[in-house]
Amino acid sequence: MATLLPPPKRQKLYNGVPEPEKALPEQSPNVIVQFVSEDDGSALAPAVSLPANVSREDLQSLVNTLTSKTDEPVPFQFHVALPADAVTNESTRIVVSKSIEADVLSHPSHAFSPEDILVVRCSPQSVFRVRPATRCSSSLSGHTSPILCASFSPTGNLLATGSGDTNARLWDLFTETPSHTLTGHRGWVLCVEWEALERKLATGGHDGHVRIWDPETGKPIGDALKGHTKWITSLSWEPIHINPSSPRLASSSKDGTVKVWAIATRRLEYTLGGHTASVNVVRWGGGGLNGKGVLYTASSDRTVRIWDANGGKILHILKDHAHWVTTLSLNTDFVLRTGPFDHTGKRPTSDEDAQSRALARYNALVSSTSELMITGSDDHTLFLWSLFPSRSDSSVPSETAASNGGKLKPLARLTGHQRQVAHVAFSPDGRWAASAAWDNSVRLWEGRTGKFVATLRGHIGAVYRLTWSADSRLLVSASKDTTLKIWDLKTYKIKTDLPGHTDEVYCVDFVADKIVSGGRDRVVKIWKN
Amino acid sequence: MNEYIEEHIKRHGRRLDYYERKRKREARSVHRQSAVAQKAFGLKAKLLHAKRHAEKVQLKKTLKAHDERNVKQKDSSNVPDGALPTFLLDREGQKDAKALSTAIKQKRKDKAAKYAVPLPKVRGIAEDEMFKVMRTGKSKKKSWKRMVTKATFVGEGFTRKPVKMERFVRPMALRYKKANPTSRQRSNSKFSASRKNPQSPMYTQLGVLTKGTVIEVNVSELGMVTAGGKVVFGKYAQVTNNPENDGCINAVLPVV
Repeated sequence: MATLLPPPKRQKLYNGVPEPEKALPEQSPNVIVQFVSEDDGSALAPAVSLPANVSREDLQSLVNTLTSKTDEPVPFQFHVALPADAVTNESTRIVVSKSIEADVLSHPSHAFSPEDILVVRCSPQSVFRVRPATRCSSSLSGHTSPILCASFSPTGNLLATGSGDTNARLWDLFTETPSHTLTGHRGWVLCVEWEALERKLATGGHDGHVRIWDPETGKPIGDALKGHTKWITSLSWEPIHINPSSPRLASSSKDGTVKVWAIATRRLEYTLGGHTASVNVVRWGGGGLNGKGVLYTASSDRTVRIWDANGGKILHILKDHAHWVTTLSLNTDFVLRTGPFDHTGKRPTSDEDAQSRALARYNALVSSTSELMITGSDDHTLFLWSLFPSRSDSSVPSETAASNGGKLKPLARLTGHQRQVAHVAFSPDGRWAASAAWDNSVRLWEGRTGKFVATLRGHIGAVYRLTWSADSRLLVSASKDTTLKIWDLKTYKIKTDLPGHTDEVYCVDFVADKIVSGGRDRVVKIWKN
Repeated sequence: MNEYIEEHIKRHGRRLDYYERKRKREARSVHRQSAVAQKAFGLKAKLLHAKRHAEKVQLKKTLKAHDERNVKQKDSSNVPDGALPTFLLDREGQKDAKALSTAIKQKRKDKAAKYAVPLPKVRGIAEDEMFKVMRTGKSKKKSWKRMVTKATFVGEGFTRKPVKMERFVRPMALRYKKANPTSRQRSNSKFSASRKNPQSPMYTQLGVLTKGTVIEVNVSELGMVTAGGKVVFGKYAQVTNNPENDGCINAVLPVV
């Protein structure tokens, strides 16, 4: 009699289904990867050969060990530039979000094979991360007319909105309740701007007045600053690292002038005349001649002018745009706006402390690139300018201009939009610039070179405003189609759609992990995670 | 010629007391006019009094207007409606369907205006105007078949019934697929269905397009969105003309 075979081993059951066979670790080709710094294109380490399915996090720790200068690991974003023949209208690069195999080798364009040496560009990112907003946490009503402007205070504790009902309102963001109503203007409140130390708030109205408020008490500081004959289009405070004790305020107006007010004495310091049409934007830059500050103005007379902030002497006239210049942005905008306050949440103890902190933040940003400016125009294009490549020497731009026959050259001309450009915004770290246009699209550009990166499509109305999160990982756009959209900068698709407004959204702002928006439906909405 | 008086004045000037006499004459003129008015009688008096009354009213009005101008008044702070952010301020004349839509939304919010179509009343159309009797049969004695004499909408993929069964004939020449819905943006859009003919449910069923009929219009290119952020593709619109007379369909988008 033959021996009986032992009964087959009982199979383990998982909910009545036998355990699936363990998948063998998938064969993955080895690729030779050259990690290159995004900033200057220099190699971070010699080329390494590694399996293509190494995950992004592992790549990150690998780069951190290869380049280890400090103990703290830095998050990186990795991307591979598409070759020229594979560049699409939508994007010019592949961002590694999972692994090289999943993203680069299996990219639909088939531009890369495992045999190539992959040049992976690494751009360091901020060490903190902003959670993307997903829901509307509160809808605050109170304004009886469309909300025209909204601005978070530099610390993010307060929010100021200006409306067509001639009032500005202050909202407390901890409790998301109204805190003060600022009544005084005789016309629509068109712009609100916080001083970077959060001691004062400036509003500009359709009546041509500028008013200064104390945000603590909600009381006006003195009467209106009168002088403009038409409405105020934009306001800008002097940066804290130049003047911590009593920063001056620049206001631009439809009447073609820019006035600089000494707020401490409540006097008009000087008026910048020269523009022949409405001045649409004024920005107070932190660099300029010997780092003493400089004013940038963009106007409907098709010029952008640069002025010395001390005395108001004109430095340059840039006449490259062919139509109204409607928007202007600096790569230092965020740093200048928030002054000494960074993500750690420490308050400066004194003015000197605030100044040194603000200066440190400013210098950290302009150490790699100088202060850059992007101007956007109704001629559907943008220009990227580097006007003060060297912070200490004032003669540099003039010399380069002289060699070009007295004309300053832009770094790049950013073309691609099919309608007027509505807004342009630099990311806080200055690596990106995003531009919104009336053609329903948002375009993403490299902030330092002006190279086209991607088109973000999804809005079905003109995109009015853009804002970046403090960590430069999220971009939010507000549109005429009543929605806000948060964009995923890895896939260049919509990350979160934020519907809820019942009419056009006119303004949006982003601080910490809160987004605020307001528009024609008279409701301020706060969005958060 | 013969302007010898003017010539004389030019050469020698006026009489020295000319302006004084003139002023006095003018000052007396009210007295003279009043004497005339008191003595006048008959029809002439009636006309004269009417004229003087009108003059007096006008005078009082002018005086009042002057008074109002001279009195210092508080600045009536009339802030214009329709506030716009700075980046839209110089762009007048770029309005579009949204103006209409906002106005209507506001109306709905106020609850004052009940939902109403733009053309609430329509002219009743009797069957003998709507249909023409078609005589059939070998000797054209039977008269059960009708031909629609108005414009119609015939859905896609419609197949006519066999001749024996076909009670209503909708002529090819009066079939429409395009409408011109009016909002601020004009567009020639395809419409997808005839939703309701207020005349009768039978006309709705037949897809008859008369003045007042509600049709569904494709508005995707107007770029409208719902409160939830979705794109609106179809919208109801009401026909505003008599398509059978005009050869085209005009419509308004009542509710956006």
